[in-house]
Amino acid sequence: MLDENKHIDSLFADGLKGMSVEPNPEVWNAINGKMAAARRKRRGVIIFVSTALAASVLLFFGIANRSLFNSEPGSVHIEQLSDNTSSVNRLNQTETLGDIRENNATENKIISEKKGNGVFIAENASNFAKNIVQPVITSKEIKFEKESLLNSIPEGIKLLLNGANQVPERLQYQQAEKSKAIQLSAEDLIVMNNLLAMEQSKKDELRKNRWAIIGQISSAYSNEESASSANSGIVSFGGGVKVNYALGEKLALQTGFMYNRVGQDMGGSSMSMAFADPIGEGETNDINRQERTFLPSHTSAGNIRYTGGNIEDKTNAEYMVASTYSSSDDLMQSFETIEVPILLRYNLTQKRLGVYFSGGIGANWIVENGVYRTSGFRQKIGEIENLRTTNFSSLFGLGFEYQLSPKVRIGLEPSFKYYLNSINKSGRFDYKPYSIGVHTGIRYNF
Amino acid sequence: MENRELEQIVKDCSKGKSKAQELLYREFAPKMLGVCLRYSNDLNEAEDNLQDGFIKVFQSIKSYQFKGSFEGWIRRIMVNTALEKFRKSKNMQVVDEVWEPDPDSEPDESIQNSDIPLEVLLQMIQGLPDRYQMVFSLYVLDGYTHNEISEVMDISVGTSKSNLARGRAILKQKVNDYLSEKENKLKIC
Repeated sequence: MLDENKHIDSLFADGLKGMSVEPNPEVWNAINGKMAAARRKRRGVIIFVSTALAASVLLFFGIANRSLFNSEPGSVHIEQLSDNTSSVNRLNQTETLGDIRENNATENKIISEKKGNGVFIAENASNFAKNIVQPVITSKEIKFEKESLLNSIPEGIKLLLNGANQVPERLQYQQAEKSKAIQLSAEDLIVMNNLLAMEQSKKDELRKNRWAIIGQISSAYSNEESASSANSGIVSFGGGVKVNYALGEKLALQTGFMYNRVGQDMGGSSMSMAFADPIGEGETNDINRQERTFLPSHTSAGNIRYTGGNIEDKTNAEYMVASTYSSSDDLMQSFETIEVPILLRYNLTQKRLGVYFSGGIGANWIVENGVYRTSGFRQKIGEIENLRTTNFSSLFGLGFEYQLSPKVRIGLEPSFKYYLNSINKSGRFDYKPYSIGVHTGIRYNF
Repeated sequence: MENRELEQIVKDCSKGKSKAQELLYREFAPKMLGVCLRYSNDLNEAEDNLQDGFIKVFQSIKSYQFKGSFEGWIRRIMVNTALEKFRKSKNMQVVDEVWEPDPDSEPDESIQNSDIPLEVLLQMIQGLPDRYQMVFSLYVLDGYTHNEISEVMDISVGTSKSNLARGRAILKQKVNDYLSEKENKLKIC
């Protein structure tokens, strides 16, 4: 009995153990497709987690900055310069102009003796508030690969034997029912392969156009929320380059470099700073008003460090020269930044005209900071002190894109940007500019 | 394929390189389809198992420690894939069976392998009831013990032995039938 069993076992084992059958080529296509999908999914998860992490960190810093540096404006004082610059009076914000007159009587006498040679740098909260200007889809063309369709028809089964002395034989199914079942399956396979080919074609198209480069220029109006009505925003131009990575059909991630400028036009601030009658002594005061110019010691963004050659710094009386400023001079402060945004973009439609939302966070590095005299010609006279170099902002936009060709689109994107932290390190100044702008640009998919 | 070459391909596969995966597939797919055919009822089912099996191979290739035969490792995955499907799709409520051999169904001792074509042998195995087919293939063709079979199929050792015996008996009968039919045809000719 044992021998019988061994015999029947060896009969099948010898024949079937080394059996090799060439599989249908579609089997590999299906395996490869699934592995590629798994790789894409894994990559997508990594990108999503990284983005979420980066966004969380940025948001955390934004909130931290906001809570840490969102303090009440500190006491604002008036500083008056004379040739004896060491006698600078600092008055509390609550002090009135009358108080100023009384407290500075001595200095005013000195001023009157130095007719026309002084520049006043004054600072008063009420005056300050009133007068200082605060500042893309794819082609629908679907190509079916000939090979994949041809290969979808089973070629049969090749039976190869491992033994060197055995000749490979074609495995034939003799039972009619089984043959029929195989034929039906072949038809099903063709349908399935067509569907797979279509799906793959879509994925290929998406993969082909996953990356895009976007060049943009922008014009934006910027201002600051705490600016008084006397101040007005400025309109500036910027631009830059972004890279777009499609996470899926709808969602994309964008980053890049953008140049921006924010600031404020402090129209007439010098005039207002010449607070009419600082001395309170009739004629002498009139003389002062004609020959001296009052400039603010700070704006809402921070203290001003005057650097102009003919502008007197409060700490350098020896450089004080006759004022070249009239009371009609205008001042402007501006901050030029390089921004690295991280944006998530969601496509609402992706036809010839595409509509999308975008939102995210940007890191802004202040590369230029200046206070300018703008009457007549623009001249830099100083800059804001103690600024935070890196600042964070939130960004929102609603964009429109028009497809010129499968690869090229032009776009228009109204956007809003708001700084999450005060750009000044000091708690005395809470300056968070915002800007409303329109980006126009061209996008190239690759 | 040389061992060194295979080792490099396996390493590349563990890094997710699709070209290496394709090379590995081309090397082992025909043999593994042969394995899958023994555990399936037809070619389509076998190719499904082959596909699922290779996806598992690529997903878990990092766990291969280069100890033992790589082909054996793949083969094990293919068999496990077939078993997994079998467990899911088939009713596994197998009762213990007592089997007594039929004295009339003894095979001819002079049967040679070359007397029966491979496709006929394969059809005979595929024509067995599923549980007999599984047990016979595991025991005879892939070298599983009854203890191992009882574990992977979640049956008792006795049931495994019984199923094997019944499977053998059916196969013996089929072999005899085939040879008789063949002999008759020759006589007619």
